[in-house]
Amino acid sequence: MSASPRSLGSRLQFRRGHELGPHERCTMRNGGNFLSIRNVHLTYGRRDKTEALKEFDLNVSLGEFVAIVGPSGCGKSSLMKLVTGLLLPSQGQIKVNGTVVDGPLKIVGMAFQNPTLLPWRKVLSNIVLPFEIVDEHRHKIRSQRHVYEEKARRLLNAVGLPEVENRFPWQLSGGMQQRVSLCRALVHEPALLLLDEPFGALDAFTREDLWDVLQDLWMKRKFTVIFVTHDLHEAVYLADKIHVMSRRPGRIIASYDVPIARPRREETAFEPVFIDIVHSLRRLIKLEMDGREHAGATREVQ
Amino acid sequence: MTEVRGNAQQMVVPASNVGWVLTAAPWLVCSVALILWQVVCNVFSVPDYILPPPTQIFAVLVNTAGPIWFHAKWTLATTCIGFALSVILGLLMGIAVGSFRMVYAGFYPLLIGFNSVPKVAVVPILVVWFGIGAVPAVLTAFLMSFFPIVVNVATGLATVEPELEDVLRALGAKKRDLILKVGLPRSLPYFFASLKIAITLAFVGSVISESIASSRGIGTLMVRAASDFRISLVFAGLIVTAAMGIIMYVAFAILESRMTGWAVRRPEVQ
Repeated sequence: MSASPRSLGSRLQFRRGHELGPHERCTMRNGGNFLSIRNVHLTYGRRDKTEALKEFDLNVSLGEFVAIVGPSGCGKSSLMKLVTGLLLPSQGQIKVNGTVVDGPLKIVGMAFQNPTLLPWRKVLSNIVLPFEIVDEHRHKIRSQRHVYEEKARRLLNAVGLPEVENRFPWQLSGGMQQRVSLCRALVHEPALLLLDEPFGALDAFTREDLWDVLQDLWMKRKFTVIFVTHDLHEAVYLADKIHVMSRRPGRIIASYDVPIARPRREETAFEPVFIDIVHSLRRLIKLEMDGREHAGATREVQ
Repeated sequence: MTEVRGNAQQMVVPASNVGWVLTAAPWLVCSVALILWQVVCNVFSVPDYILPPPTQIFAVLVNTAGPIWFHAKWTLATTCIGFALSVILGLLMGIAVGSFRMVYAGFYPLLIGFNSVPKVAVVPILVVWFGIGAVPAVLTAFLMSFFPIVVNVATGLATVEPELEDVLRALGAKKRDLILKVGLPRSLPYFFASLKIAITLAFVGSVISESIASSRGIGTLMVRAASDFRISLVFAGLIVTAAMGIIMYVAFAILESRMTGWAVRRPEVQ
């Protein structure tokens, strides 16, 4: 796993007083892992126990773009909740930036397939919402609203929506709503961004458009991303590293590095490396869905 | 976007042409019904003490306007006080039931049982406790209109998308943030919708109470008129009550569209 500390474009903020400035060298514990999940089990329900995750291990470096793919119902969404601390593991340990997660992390950006915008707020006010909640900002938002709104405006411009700030979310198309949802997830400059199939409900053109939007934002700000998706093209296009999950109970059965230079563009999808990884992923997931155990635990495609 | 708007306008134009028909429709239906009523009374010469014709009811309305207004004012006042009580308490109870599972589990069955009790049966108890007068009427109005408000507010709060809740909790939102930023604004359309139902129920409540035990109010007026066989006056009372109900309903419908315009997605944009 690449352990080289990177300098960050954005400030990192954490709950227990950890503050990393932009020019500080990140001294990470856990061998350079920003997020480390060790031998995590997650069981649902009291009577008929369903195992969502079993012997789950995952490491994510700071600033890394990680995609998680797998057969449907493999516990990807549970993983999201575990990482943010909304759910606690039945067994095992999750550390973010060296601190054990034992409750909601308080500073994670999230976006889902459903944009979940507030229909009674205009676009700009929807994007500013995280500032009204995050501890560090909530007391300042009243007096400095224009400062925060300016941040939101800049982000709206960056995702290609310069003229919608005074519209209501339901006046926008699905793709535009999803862009706004991305803005809301990123506006408070979170160190960690969790995306759960954010582009799953969009048409192919809009989706590919948003891949570039997300890639550009990430290249500028270098936040750490965990991106859950069903779309293998999407995973290869966007991620530095792809982890494949098994059927339920979920665990990582393979990890792929994606050695394709950035920025990746439309043509990238026709490069042999790209196609190889997609094929290999597809085979693996098909095998997994057919129920046969995959022999090799971890494969690295270079 | 421009294309969408163009299409929408084409759809709106014929709609505004039928607009006046829609506005006229209730008046038309009402007039036809009244004319039919009048004709039936005249043709079959129905006795006045069974079913008076609309013209006679109207005449009574005009002639006894003073006393009717005296009683109507009273009913309006007791209804509004009872309704105001149920808005305040219903909102608080609705927030509690909708936000906390323990409160829901503990109180909801009780509320349903409470709502199933016929309010007519409660009035004598209220009279024993508070005596004849305004208090039983106010309380009956409150009892009738409380439940729909609680249920609606609770529904709005309880149906917040779990994903949205996750987004906010991952930012460190507390229960209070979730209620204030999401739950309450979200339940406002439900709340205002329930007000329209609740205000009409409140009238039913106060009139019931007045007709059982009171010395004032439209309910009292109608019971007394009926015992004197002044059926026209009873009908006049009914019409006044209905009119007050409609006026209050319209007032809250206007308030609703003012407060929660975002929930009524305008056709021009979809």
